[in-house]
Parts: sequence; structure tokens; C-alpha cells
Amino acid sequence: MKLTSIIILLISTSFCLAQKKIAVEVEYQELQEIPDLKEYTSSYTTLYANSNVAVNKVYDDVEFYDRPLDNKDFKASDPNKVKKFSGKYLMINTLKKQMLFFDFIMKNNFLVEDIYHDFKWDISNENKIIEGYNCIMATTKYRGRNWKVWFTPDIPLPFGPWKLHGLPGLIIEAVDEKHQVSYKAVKIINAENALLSEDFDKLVKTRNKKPITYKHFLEIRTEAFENLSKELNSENSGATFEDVKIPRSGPELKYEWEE
Amino acid sequence: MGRIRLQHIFIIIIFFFPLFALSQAYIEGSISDTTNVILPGASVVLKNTDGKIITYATTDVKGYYIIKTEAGNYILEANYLGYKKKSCEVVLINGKKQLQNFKLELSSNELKEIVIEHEKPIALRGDTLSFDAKAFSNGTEVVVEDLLRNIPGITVLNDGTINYNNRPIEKVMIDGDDLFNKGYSILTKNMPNKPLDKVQVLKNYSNNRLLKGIEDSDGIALNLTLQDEYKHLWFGNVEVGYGNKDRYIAEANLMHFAKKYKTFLTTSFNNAGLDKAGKVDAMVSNNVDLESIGQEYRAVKVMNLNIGSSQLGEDRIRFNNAETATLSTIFPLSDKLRLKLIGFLGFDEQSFFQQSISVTDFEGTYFENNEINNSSNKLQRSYLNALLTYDISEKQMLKSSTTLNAGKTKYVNDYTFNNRSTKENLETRNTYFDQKTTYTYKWNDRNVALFKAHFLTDRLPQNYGINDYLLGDLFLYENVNSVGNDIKSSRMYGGFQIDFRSKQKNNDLISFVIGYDHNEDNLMTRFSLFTDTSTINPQDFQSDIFYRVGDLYLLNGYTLKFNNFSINGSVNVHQIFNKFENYYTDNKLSTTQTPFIVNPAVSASWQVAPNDVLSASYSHNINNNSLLQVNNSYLFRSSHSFNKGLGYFNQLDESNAGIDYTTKHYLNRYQFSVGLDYSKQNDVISYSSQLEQNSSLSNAFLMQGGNRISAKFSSHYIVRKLKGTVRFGGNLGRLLYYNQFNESDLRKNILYIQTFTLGWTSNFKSSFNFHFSTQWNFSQVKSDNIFRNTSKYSYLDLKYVINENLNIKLKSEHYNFGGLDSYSNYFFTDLSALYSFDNKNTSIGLDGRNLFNTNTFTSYNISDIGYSTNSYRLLPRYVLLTVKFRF
Repeated sequence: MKLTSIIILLISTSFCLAQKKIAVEVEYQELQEIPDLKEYTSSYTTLYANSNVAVNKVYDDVEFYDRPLDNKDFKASDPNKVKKFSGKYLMINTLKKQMLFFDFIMKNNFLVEDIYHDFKWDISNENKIIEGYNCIMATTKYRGRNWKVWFTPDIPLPFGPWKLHGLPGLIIEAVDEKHQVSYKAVKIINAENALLSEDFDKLVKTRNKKPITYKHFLEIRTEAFENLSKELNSENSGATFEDVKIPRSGPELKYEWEE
Repeated sequence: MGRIRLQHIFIIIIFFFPLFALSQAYIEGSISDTTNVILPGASVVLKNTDGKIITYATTDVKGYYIIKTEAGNYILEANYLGYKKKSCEVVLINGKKQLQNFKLELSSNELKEIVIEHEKPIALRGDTLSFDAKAFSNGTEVVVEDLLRNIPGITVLNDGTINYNNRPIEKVMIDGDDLFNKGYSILTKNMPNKPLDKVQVLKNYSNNRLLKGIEDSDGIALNLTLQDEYKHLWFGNVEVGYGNKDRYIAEANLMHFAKKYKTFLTTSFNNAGLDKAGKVDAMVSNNVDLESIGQEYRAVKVMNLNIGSSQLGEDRIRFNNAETATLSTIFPLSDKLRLKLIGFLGFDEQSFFQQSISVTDFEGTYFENNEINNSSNKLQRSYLNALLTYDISEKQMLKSSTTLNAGKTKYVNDYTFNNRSTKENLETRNTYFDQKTTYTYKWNDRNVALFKAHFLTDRLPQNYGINDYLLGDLFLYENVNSVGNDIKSSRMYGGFQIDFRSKQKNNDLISFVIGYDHNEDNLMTRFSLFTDTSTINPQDFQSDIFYRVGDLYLLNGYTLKFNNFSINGSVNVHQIFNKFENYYTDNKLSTTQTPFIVNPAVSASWQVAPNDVLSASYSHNINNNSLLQVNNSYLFRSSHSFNKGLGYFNQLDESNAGIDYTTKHYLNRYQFSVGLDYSKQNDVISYSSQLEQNSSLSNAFLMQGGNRISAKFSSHYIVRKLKGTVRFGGNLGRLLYYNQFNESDLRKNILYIQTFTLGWTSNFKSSFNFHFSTQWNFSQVKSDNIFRNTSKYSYLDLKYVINENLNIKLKSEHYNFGGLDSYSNYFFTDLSALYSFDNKNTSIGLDGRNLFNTNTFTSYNISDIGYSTNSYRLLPRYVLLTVKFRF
């Protein structure tokens, strides 16, 4: 009897002491490459995730390099350097099947609702150990790019870098087929964060009260830049309006409504 | 479990065999922890017996999952962060929904934390974007401008202006050397693109590389690098045009780029009214290359008889015959030393034909004057500048600029005054020498100091003569048959300054400047009346002036930024040493003064909302006097007028305040800004004038100042449905000032101005586009009388790009003036067509100017004592056929 009660006491104490943090904080490094422009960039995002909700913070500092970057260049960001954050949060809620993010046009902030994509992943047989985690390879197609990722069931969270999610484990590495965009988790720690329980739409003061669709957001952003061109053009009577076509780069090359 | 399984399989095979091939197997369940709390978002993975993941699911809000797959033997794993993974073997049977719940236990294992460190540092690219020229070439480009259009972010406009991300660039350099400043289109429109290696976009560009990081510059510059194999690059263009009435233009540009040096030669000849020297001025002025002091200090110019029209473009009234040549070259003297030399030579013969009728009408005085000016002006100008740049080290830089300028103007005028014909001439010579040296020292990322020195001498002798006496009763001598004015004006300036700038940790900027300026002016004038036998130099009309201003100054500024608010405060303190002496025997005067002046200024800007900005400023200025304001003898300024200054020093005091508000649509669909300005002059030097029919004598005196209030607004709106942009703006002003004429009391004058502008620019994506603008000006002067004036100016530009080779431009202008009873209208039309051959090296153009052949233009002006009309003879219609050849 006495032994049982002591055991119960010990178990219950350890239950309290083992203050289980059921969320992780992952820092991802994003490397982008545009060979035509000889542009090689590196930037950081931090993912706060628990089993249902993930909030991603995208930092403004982008570093430009003059040579192609590869796997050896991944490293955690300098903890002594204060990173600039302009409010670009991205939230994915797998239970409510919702994806929301904040972005801005010129100086105005917007709350944008993206199409919640049910990722169809092809899980392969390939295994690899990355930074001490057992990882399995999976592939999918999303918005014009073919992605190859390594996820680990050791961390059973369905999230990853940027908008990639839906695997039975955290995505440690992700790279697109053309090798123009790649991600790697450079820091993983156990940490609860208030962002996961706060009302997402109240994080940033925005122009719109209700979220606007991603398609509409892209349309008005294009319009804002075109209008800037038109305004400059009308100041200079010797000029004619020219449509500047900049080829798309980054993780999204094509959208669902463009199929 | 094993026993149950065997029995199950038996039953399934017997009873469900027919359905086996058709249906799929399901497995479902709920996942909770040991205290029965459900776990939504738990991961459930179905693996085959080899351990490969076949499919997976996550539990929903109720903690429930369902997996559909083919029948078979599997391992089912449930996992949740912070809990121990649990797995079990399952056999899935077709058509049967199996239930498998999991109860997960807390895990005592900590999550494996990782932080990836990295040893090798990588070189950051910084603010330079480098594009490989070959990668952006599609084979059809001929000149640099064609290649630049292909580079993302760069747009090139018709007139050659280059923008990056919708912002104009400052310059285009070749291998780090700049020969053209803002006139870079001569380079980009003529240089072949084949020799290009890289196109670099330099962001946050600053002319002084040591100021980067301290002064936030958002300037952009382009640098083009050349491939090594092109050791000698020669290219350029020639343009020749000839038209009716013997009008011609000829222009040639030649550029030579070698490894060691770069040279640019341009020559121009024309008699079509075009002023090429102005464009060259933009290229040769080296002020942007060198931070220096004392920019505006030139010698006093006493007489200026040039005729110009403020309302009509000067190239319509200028009959000329001009030749100019400019040569600039850059070459390195050593690794760290670079020298840029610019030489300019220009000649022009200009004629103007002008007639004016002026009416002076105020209390007690009325007269009319009729003047005809038939003038010719022969100009010669030469200019030589050497700019030396010495990159001493990472932290130090030295720049030195030496300039020599010499010119001569010979102005001859057949002057008819109230039907009396005379001939007047004015010869002006000018020699100018200037030396600027600036040393920059940056001792860390945040602190920089500039040491600037500047010395100049400017000599401006003038000689005026007229072969008649037109001054009426001003001088009571008999038999005066001609008048002359001999002027020797010179200035010497020397100055030194230390300019210290420090950027604080929170990005605030402190600037601190201390310096000394020393100015010395010498002005000797001899005004003479000639009779057959003698020369008379009337008293009070001669001068032998020495004017010295020493200024020891301190400028201190601080910019503070927090949240959406920024405020800048500055205080300028001057200790001035003034001295004025007039040695001419009858007018001897010597006066000195040492005023201490403090000029504060403050400006603030507040971003009320993301697209709304409110800004305000206030400043108080005490300005020192100029030589002409202090001078105590009469100076003969033009055929009839004389000016005299105060005879003593008295600084002038004024305050200015302004407030501005701009609001923009968040997508740039429209912008509206409104501003209000108020300025008050406490002390003002005004002129009390004796106005007679034949002469005007003005005496300066100190009196109360007036004030000025003005409001302006401007807006633009993009009209999407009609594919155009509308601009609408206006200016309203009220100016109060005092003056005194003849025997009148102090007169109070109020000038009202209203200006409205409306413009429309089309944004068609087709080959046709137009631009329309109209401006209406209304002014009223209220003093003894009320004089009103209205003028309207409109223009319409049409552009039609017929195909790749041919385009046509039509420009029409309309002027309307009125104020008396009648209104006059003038129409002008210019047409130009350009055809370029397929090889893009040759093009033919047709230029027609003043197609309606308007031959006179009369404008109307009002003042507080009367009004006048000015008529100009215009360049008659001409058509030029031009051929442009590029090599």
C-alpha cells in the first residue's frame, strides 16, 4: 500500500515537473537562386508550431551573395543581430483547414486568406539521417514547382517551411526540382509561444477588416505598381507608358486560378 | 489477439469473398491520452511490413481519424508531440471498417534540439546588382540602350531617360568613370552593346563613397564594364540637317574608350534657334562630383541688356548662328589617382527683334514710351576644367577641381526710343578662375568629416556706349551728344569649412559645420556724358567701391526620428565682418559693421496613416546685404535707369512658415496634396524711384516689409476606364509690399495670383498616345489703380508609332493674353517624323517648326504702376530634312 502511494506520488510529481512543452520553434533558412540575374539570396523564417496550428514569421533581412549557395551554407542566424520584422506572419490551421497571412502593398498592411491546399504527398522508401533525425523523402507538386522534402516522424507535427505542410512529421529540408528555392531547419528547440493561442487576425493592424483572397491581393498589388508607372509617365510628357514584365521567381510560379 | 485474428480471416474469406475484389478496407478510431483527453491533430501512419509508409492521416477536432486503403497486413502507428509513439499490427479486410483506438502516454524524452553552426564566412554582395550582358541579349540589340531595356527593373523612356524600379538614375558610368552626368543618353543611344561585359546597378549610390551608410541616399547609378578584348572602342554619330531659308543643323559626337583613358568629343553647329550650350552645361558642371562651398559667389554684373521672353520658348525668338565644341577625357595617373579634363568652346551670333509699348500710370504721373530693339549679340565662351580624384585609402579621399572660364559678349542694338533712332553697344568680358579642394576622412562606419577649401577670382569688365543723349532733364548740360559707362567689376573669394556628420546608433543624424568665408569686391564705374569738346562725369554717378564681407559661421543640425514622426532642427550662427568703402572723391564713404546673426529653422514630418503625410516647417532668416544694396552712388543699369543703395549696412529680417499635407490612395490610384505658405519680411530694402518719361532714378531706403501668403494644391487621378491620367493643380497667392514713386506717399500694393493647371496623359498600350495640358494664369494688382491680366497656355502632344521604324510627333501650342479690352491668340505647330532603317545605324528625320508661320508674338504684362505690351519677331516657318548616321 505504502509503496503504491509513494509510486503514485512520484508519478504525479514527475507529471507536474515534466512540464511538457508540446510546441516547437524551428528556424528555417531559405536560399533562393535566380541564375539569369546572378542573384543568390538567403533569408530566415521562424516557425512556431504545435499539432494543429503553425505560425510562421518571415524576416525582412535578405542577404545577397555573389556565388551560388549550397548545403554547406546553411547555418543558424546570428543571435546577437536584431532581425527586422515588418509583420509578415503566416498561419496554417490544419483542423480548421485555414491558411491566413499578412502582407503589405507600399505601406499598407493586408490580411490575406490563401486557398487551403490539401497536399498530396508521394512518400518514398528513401531514408536519411539529417542532424540526428531519421528522415524520409516525399515529393509533391504545388503552384508550379515540384518539391522534394525530407520529413521526420520523430517530430510528429504536420508542418514545415513556408506553406509546405500535411506530412506525418516535421519537414527538415525542402528543395524544388530546379534547385531555385531550398529550405533547411537550422535550429529546432522546444518552446511554447503565445502566438499559437492568440487571435491571428489581431496580430497586425490592417486596412481591411475581413481577409481578402490571395487572388484579389495579387491583382491589387500589380495595379498599385502599374499606377506608380502611370503617374511617373504623366509627369514626363516625352514618355510613353510601358508595361514592365518581370518574370516570376520565388516558391510560387503559377496559381490554381491560372490553370 | 493472435487467435482472434486467425478466426476472423477464416470467416472473412468464406463470407466476403465475392466482395473482396470490389471494395476497399477502412480503419478508423480516436486517439486520446491516458486521462481520456482527446488529441486532435495526432498523426496516424500506416506502414507495410517492410516499414514503408503507405498512407497516413491526422485526427480531426474530435480526435477521430479514418484511413482508407487496400486490404493487407500493416503496422499502424499513432504519434503526438510530447507523447510516446504507439504502434500495433493490423490486418485490413475489404469492405470492413476496423476500429483501432489509441491511448498515448506522456513521453519523458526531451525533443532533440539542434542548432547548426557554420565556420566559413561568405562574401556578401552588398548594394550592387550585377547582370551579365550576354545573358540578356537576344541578338537584336544594336546600342546599349536596347540591351538595358531587357534587364529586369530597368525601363528606358523615348527621350533616353533611364529608370530603375520606377526611379530615375543619376548617371551611367563606364568602368567606374563618368563623362556625362545627366547627359548619359548620348552614351546609351550611340555606344554599341557588343563590348559590354556586365551591367551593374548601384543602389544607395552616393557621389562621395565615404558618405555611404551615414547619409541615407536612395540614388541609383549604373556602371557598365567592358570586355577585355575591346581594347579600342570608337563610336559616335553624325547628324546633318538642311532646310529652307538656309537653315541648317550639324552635330557630331565621337567617343573613344581605351583601357587607360576615355574621351568624348561633341561639336554642334546650327542656325535654327537651338541652344546646344545649355545641354552641354548639364554635362560640364562638376558641382555634383565635388562637395564644395561658396557656389554662387560671382562678380556683380551692373549692366545686362539681353532680351528674353519669359512666356514663349526662347528658341522661337532667337535668330542665331551657333558653333560649340566640347572635349572631355578621363584617364588614370596611377592606381589611386584619376584625372578628368573638360574643355568647351562656343561661339554664337544671336539677333532679336522686339518692340514694347509701356504705359506708366499712377497718382499724378502718366506717360507712354515706345521702344524698338533690333539687336545682335556676338558671344564667345571658353571653359576648361580639371578634376582630380585621389583615393588615398579606405578611409580617406581627396578631390580637387580647377576651372578657367573666359568669355566675351558684344551686344549691338539699333535702339529706337519714342521715334528717336540711336545705336547702343555693350561689351562684356569675363575671366574666371576657380579652385576647389575637398578632403574626406571617415574614421569609422558612423562618423565622417569633410574639409573643404575654395578660392576664386572673377573679373567682369563692361563697356557701354550710346550715340545720343536720351535722358531728358536728368542732367542739365548742353550739347551732350553721347553717353558712356565704363565698368570694372571683380570679385575674390576664399573660404574654408569643416563639415562633420555623425550617425547615431538609433539612426539619428547629427551634423556640425564650422567655416569662414572671405569675399572682396571691387567695383569701379565711370559714367560719362560726352559733348563735342569735353567729357563730363556727373557727381553722385561715379563709384570706386571696395566691399568686403567676412563670415565666420557655425551650422548645427540634428534629426530625430521616432515612430512615424521625424523632426529636424538646425541653427546657423554667423559672425559677420562687413566693410564698405567708396573712394571716389565726391562720394567718399567708409563704413563697417560686425553683426552677429542667428538663424534657426525647424521642420517636422508626421506619417499620420500609411498613405497620409503631414509636414511643417518654420525658419527665421537674417540676410546680409549685397554690394548693390549698400552702394551710395548711382549706378547706370540700362539705357534709362539708375540705382543707388542705402549707404549703410542694415540686415534684412524675414520669417517663413509652411505646412503641407499629402494623401495617396493605397494603390496609387490618386494623390492629392495641399500646402500653405506664409512669409513675413520685417525689414525690406525698397526703392523710391523718380520716374520721368526719359529716365528712372531709384534710391534704396529701408522700410517695413510686406508679407506673402500662398496656397497650392495638386492632384493626379488615374482614370482606368478611359486609360489615362488626369492632373489638376493650382496656386493661389497674395503678396503685400510697399514702394514709393516720385512725390507719392508710401504706396501699399497687393498682388493676387491664381494659377490653374489641368492635364491629361493617355495610357493606351497601342501605337497612339497623347498628352494635353492647359494652364490659366490670372493676376490682379491693386494699388492706386487696379490692373488685371489673364494669360492662358495650352499644348497638345500627339505621338503615333506607325511601326518599328517610323514614328511621328505633332506638338501644338496655344497662347492667349489679355488685360485691356482685347485678347490675342497665338497658335504654333511643330511636326517631327523619324524613320530609322532596319540596320538601325541610319535614320532620316523631318522637322517642321512654326508650321502656321506666325511671325509676331505680343505678350501683355502688368505691374503696380502700369502695364506694357512686348512684341517679338519670331523665327518663320522652316522645314529641315535631317540625316543621322551612327557608327
